[in-house]
Amino acid sequence: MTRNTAPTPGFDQQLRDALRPGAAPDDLRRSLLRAAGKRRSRWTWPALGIAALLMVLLGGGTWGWMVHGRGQEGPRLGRAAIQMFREAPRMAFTAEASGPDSGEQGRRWSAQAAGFSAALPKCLAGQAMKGGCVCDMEACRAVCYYLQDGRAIYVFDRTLRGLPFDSDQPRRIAAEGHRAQAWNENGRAYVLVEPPGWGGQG
Amino acid sequence: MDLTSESLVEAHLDAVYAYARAKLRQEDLARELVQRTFLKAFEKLSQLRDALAARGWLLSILRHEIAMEFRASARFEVWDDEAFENLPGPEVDETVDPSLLAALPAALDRLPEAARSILLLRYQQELPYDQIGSLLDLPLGTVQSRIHRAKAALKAAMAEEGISVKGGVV
Repeated sequence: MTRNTAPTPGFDQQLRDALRPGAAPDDLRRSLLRAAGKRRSRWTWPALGIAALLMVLLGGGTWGWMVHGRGQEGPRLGRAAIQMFREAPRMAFTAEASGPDSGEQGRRWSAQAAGFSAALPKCLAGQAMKGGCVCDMEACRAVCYYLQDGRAIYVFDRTLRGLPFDSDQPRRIAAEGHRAQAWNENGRAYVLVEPPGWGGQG
Repeated sequence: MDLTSESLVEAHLDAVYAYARAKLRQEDLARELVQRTFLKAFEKLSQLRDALAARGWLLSILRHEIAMEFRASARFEVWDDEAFENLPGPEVDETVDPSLLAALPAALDRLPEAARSILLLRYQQELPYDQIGSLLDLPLGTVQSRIHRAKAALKAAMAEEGISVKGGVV
């Protein structure tokens, strides 16, 4: 055993130095900061409550309108997804794999292209996809995957108000002859759009 | 201090991501679970009373997400007392040659999951013993002895990697 001339830190400090965290990926940070920016601080809701009380006291119906508007966010964006599906935007990503691997391929692509990792919901796990694109609807970012069976699933970068958290009982939306199901799951909102006459299991 | 979602990301993302990356060893999965963790934290932010406990709180959400991901797997963090029973505890202030620390991640990877976890919580996340105890649902004395044993296991793993840990001053 030799003795160094320079003092060495204890093993605890060496462990701390060796395990010190590096920087998280920039796109992950940007995505989370974007999601954080859309949320309100803990004092905003009490402030809104006071504002609402004032409005009620003043006899205005504005508060009711605001609550209604916020509660309709999910269905409104569900209809926006149907509209986008009808416009059939060009695919920015084409799956090279044809089977269930295409889902994993899409998830990896979305992390780079959309800034968040958009996995398929549990009910579509293993579903083959043709490709996808990134869409911005109102202040939300979503990834659209076109499935091999003709449907499309929109994966939003956060949950949407007014949608259930139970994927077995999704909110059903109909517009422009198309049907969609929308729900929240694992911190994301999903809108599954079916083309007219789609006869598969929805 | 009024803790906001943004300040949570700015202050803790690097550390929480590092923990996820070290635990899961898969970048994609680490990103996914860290993202889920923060999105859930944003929703529950009003439940966090003490800003100083934010790191432990985020890690508890992340650990729940990891447990959900691996719920079908029995390998998740089982502390095997027998495996650690015969390991000598490391001496106070013992050091390793700094030039050999580059091999430490590989040695850490050889450790059982529970030992890796407790070392990461203590030395990467720099959580105090009481917060580690809350996270792992362990009494303080058990936390201390497990950290002690985990370091001994790390020492043994480093020895197997060809790195010798010397007692006292090197």
